[in-house]
Amino acid sequence: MRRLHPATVIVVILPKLREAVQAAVPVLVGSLASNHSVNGEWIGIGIGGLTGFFAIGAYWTTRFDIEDNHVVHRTGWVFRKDRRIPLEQIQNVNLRQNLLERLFRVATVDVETAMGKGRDLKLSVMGFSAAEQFREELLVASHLESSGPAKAEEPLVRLNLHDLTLGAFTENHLGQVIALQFILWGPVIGLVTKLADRLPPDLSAAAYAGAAFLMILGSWLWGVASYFLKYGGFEVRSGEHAFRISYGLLNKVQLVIRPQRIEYLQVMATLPQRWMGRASFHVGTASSFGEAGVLAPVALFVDRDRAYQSAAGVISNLDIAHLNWRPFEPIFYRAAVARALMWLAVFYGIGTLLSRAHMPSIALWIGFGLLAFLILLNLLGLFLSKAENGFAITDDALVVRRGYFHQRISAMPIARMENVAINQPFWWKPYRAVSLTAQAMKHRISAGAVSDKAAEELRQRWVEKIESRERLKAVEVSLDPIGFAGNAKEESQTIAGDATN
Amino acid sequence: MDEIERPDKNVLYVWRAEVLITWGILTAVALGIALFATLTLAAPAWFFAMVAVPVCFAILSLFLLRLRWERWTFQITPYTLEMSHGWLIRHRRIVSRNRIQHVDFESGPIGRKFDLVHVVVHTAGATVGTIPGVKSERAERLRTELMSGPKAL
Repeated sequence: MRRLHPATVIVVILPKLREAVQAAVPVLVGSLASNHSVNGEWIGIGIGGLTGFFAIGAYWTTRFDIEDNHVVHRTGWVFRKDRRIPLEQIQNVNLRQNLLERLFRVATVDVETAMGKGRDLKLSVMGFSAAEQFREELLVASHLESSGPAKAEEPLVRLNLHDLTLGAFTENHLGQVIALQFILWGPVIGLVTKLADRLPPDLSAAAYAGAAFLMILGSWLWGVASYFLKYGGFEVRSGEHAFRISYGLLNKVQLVIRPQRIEYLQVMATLPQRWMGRASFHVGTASSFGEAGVLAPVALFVDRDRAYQSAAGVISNLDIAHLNWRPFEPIFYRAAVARALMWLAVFYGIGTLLSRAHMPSIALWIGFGLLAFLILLNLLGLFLSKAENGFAITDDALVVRRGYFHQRISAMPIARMENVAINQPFWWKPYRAVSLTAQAMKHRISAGAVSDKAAEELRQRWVEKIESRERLKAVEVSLDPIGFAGNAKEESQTIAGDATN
Repeated sequence: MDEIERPDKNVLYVWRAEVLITWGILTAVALGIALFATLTLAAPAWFFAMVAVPVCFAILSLFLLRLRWERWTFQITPYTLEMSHGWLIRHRRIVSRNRIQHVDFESGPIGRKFDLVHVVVHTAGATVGTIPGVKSERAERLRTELMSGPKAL
């Protein structure tokens, strides 16, 4: 049986310590601002000691290998855990390296199955060459690649520096901006409050507004830098049964995906990217891609037509450029307005209550003003995109297009749908409108408000797909009554497994 | 098969018990807070009015249970399981039978008294629905039908 690399001990401890330091930063800044000292040495020693103990234990007790068409993984000393993952259930095999792992020339291997969250196998960490070798053995054993020498062919997609920079500046970083506000807001406003107390009222208001502007600008630039570092060196290569995606300047990620496992795809473009005729193309399988996210990028900042061609390569007959788009029902927009008004009323109510309770009112109103701005911006985007928002039902897929500032065209093959939810609030009934959500193993696609006829049409197509698949299965069984094909497949897997051992 | 079915009518007793227990606990908590506030913090007597909130919700819920039962239907078609429920918001969930991974039974003490189980249906991706209050004998047949895959051929 194989073992992890000794660097596991350090690589596991340091990120935990980094998390502890990151969590302590707002407390430290806050304590500096309020002149209160924090004595967290003993807590730090406790966390460090415990993490170290578990890291040594993880290295010492973990064993893994490929045996009898399974990946075998054993770990634990007091509580022992023995896992066997059938090779045929493997969805993706990913290899990633953060900065620390690159320093020690080690890597983490993620073996992802469709068994759900928490059931994937994470081998952290292995020596880099051992990790690459193990991944190749796994790919061959699970029939994702042939056992021959790797072909040195040109990549299908490569992101050059010019496109990477443009992509970073034109991408949507709103998520990072909002997330960073939660970390920065308290400490920065604390510091500005101390400063504003010494300023005249007009200037103090300007100080708060300036701090808010700088925080938003800084967060957005942080988003630009993150994109640049995350997707630098992006390229996609085609394999025999799968394609390989690699990217990352600091943290390197290598994903291997088999196309027949794809159950969801998304073509995304922000407003500036649409002006430039560019888009990004992401896909999703039944499992996630670990820390790399739920969707895997297949093409970034490419020509829109090329992104559409890539989508057609995943779902047959999907011609996004010439789809028969149908608009959402008008009730969808009325419901969005009602929701926005409700949230504005709630924020106004909370703001009024807190300002009466002598909270620092200017900072408070700037905060709530920002939230109100985001709600109104979202509503504005919804109405600006009204002409383009819509859905399409093709022979093979449900496709939904939504968004103005950040447009997403999502598609799900009908054959991959597990269940369909059709909901109708009673006040939608006179309009004969329903909300429609289709769920595959991991991903779901929602089509806002559609007519009940359209929902029924999708249901019909879906049932027809199930019916035709079942008929095909029945024909296969009648042609091969003793299951020879299945046995042959199993045998060939065993031979491949033996060859790798 | 293809017949539209409802949960057993005795499920109403199970639901009534659930409503009484849930809202009973909330009423007791509200009463405790009101007592504490009036006796310790010298809050005015009208503070006891907050007890009326869970009581009103409990009464409303009890009245709506029958409507809930009438609106709950399920149907096994050759390829799908269809579940519909809800009054304010009508929910309809259609599940492909060949995607069903396993079917669980859940029952509490009151459900067991009436020989009822809740049938929980799982696919690989999620728990797709719970059919409440099915007689245990019917539930066993239901599980066999659902686990045996499509039946049209």
